Amino acid sequence: MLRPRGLSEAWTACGGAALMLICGFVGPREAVHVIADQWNVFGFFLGLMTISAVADRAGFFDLLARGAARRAGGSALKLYLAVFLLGTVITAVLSNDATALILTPVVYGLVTRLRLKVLPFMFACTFIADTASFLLPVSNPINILVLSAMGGSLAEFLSYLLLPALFCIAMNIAIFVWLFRHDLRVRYDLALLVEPECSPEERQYLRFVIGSLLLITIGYLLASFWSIPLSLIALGGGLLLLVSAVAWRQMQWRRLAHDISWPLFAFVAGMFVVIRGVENAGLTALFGRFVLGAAPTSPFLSVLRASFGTALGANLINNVPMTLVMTSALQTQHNLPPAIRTAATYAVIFGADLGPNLTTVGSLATILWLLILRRRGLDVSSREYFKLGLIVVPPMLIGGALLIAYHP
Amino acid sequence: MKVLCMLGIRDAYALVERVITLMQSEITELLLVYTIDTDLREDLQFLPGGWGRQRKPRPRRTEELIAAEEHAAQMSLQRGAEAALTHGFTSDQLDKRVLTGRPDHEVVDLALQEHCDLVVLRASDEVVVRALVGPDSVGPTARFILDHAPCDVLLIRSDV
Repeated sequence: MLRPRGLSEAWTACGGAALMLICGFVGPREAVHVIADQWNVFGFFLGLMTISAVADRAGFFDLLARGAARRAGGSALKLYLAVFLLGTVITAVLSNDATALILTPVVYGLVTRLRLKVLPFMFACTFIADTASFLLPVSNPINILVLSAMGGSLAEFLSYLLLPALFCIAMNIAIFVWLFRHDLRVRYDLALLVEPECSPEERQYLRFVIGSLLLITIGYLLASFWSIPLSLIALGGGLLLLVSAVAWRQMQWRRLAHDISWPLFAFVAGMFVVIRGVENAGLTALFGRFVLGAAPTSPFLSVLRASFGTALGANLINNVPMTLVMTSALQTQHNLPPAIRTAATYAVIFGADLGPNLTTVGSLATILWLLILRRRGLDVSSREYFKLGLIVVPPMLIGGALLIAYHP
Repeated sequence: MKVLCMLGIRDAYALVERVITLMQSEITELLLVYTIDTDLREDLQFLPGGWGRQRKPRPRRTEELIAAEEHAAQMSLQRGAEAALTHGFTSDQLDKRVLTGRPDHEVVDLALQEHCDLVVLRASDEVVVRALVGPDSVGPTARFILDHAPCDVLLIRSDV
């Protein structure tokens, strides 16, 4: 919850893990096992970051953004909708991280050149990254974390989360189009779009990268369908792109190393050990009973409690540890009927993925956003912003929870 | 009279044309200024999303963003200069500047340094003007300049 200035979260997580070891809540051998058991998660992180980094350097995201601007034909509103669509597709296939970290600056550069208001587009990218992150198991590493622990097929995932995802995406788009309606009424000059100078080799390389990304997407779907660990596809795809980058002489190892967030591995590993220690102390079981209720019988109430509990917790302590706590809590609730357990599992994914967007209701991030909005002179009063958040975000969670509880 | 004309995201040609229509005979020097608001790019790092990773764009991407901002600035200045030249100003009477930082502070500082007699600015640089009069009609940047400019200020209200 608190992070001293300049101190990475990885240090905090590793410090917590060390404390768990010193206090004896987790043995050294158990800690090694806990981390080694999660090879699928670590492999997925590594593969995905490699794929995103190589695709970014090949110019894939810029190509998509320029294509969207050209297709929108000069209408800011159409471009806005196209950015949402791009964000949805990129999040679905390359995860929320790629949209938030790579697409946002690309779109910033594009709309600056087109001399449109930048903020609505920045918000669109960052929000859709979370809202679309439960479309597929690969859309958010949180999904892999939960599915690795609880199991589940692609068909089951889609039957629980596809409709809630589409519902939340539609709601997100509708809210933002309304919120920024004045800034989206304008047109832009298509002549301002700049085509970068590319050699024939670079164009050929980009075409290969696009083909590889399509292959990786198909691979993800088939792997999810046959329950093959997704890390194998992510690592295989990453390797394919690395080999192609070397073959086309586009590889810069130092830059790739810079694009991969190594502390993230330490953070996740540390959190695994910390949560195991908390679990050994019996606290996650208690927490599970507290969140899900002593004897849950109604699927809707269980789903609602799991979604809201996880979403709120994700805002308090970051969604990775919150997901680990909830997964552990679910695993320790032996009296749960199987149907409720499955629904609650998907509710945890839903809450953890959408949770960061809950900050529109109230948190430090909201205050920061409001400051940014006000500083930019955007005509959104804090009252209007809070009212919007309060009116819209809980229904998004309730609507999604209803769709999960009474899935087809 | 030395006039500093503050350009923004909205049509620079229309703004300069409006200023000239209002006071052509008074203007001896026209200083066209566009300020790149660097805070906006830095805000990218604070937006939520992703896996909580460092959000600072990589160096090449940052260079591209700066190039896009420079391009937008040059486009505005070029349009403003076109309007002035079309209305009989000579290139000797024109000066164009791109500043970086907070637009309100930068413009006030420049007006002081250049001993400007007048600062001209739009009431709001919103893409679509919603209120021409009333409490929300003057944006935060224009309000700061009205309060702190070391010379007279001409506020362009009409939707040009």
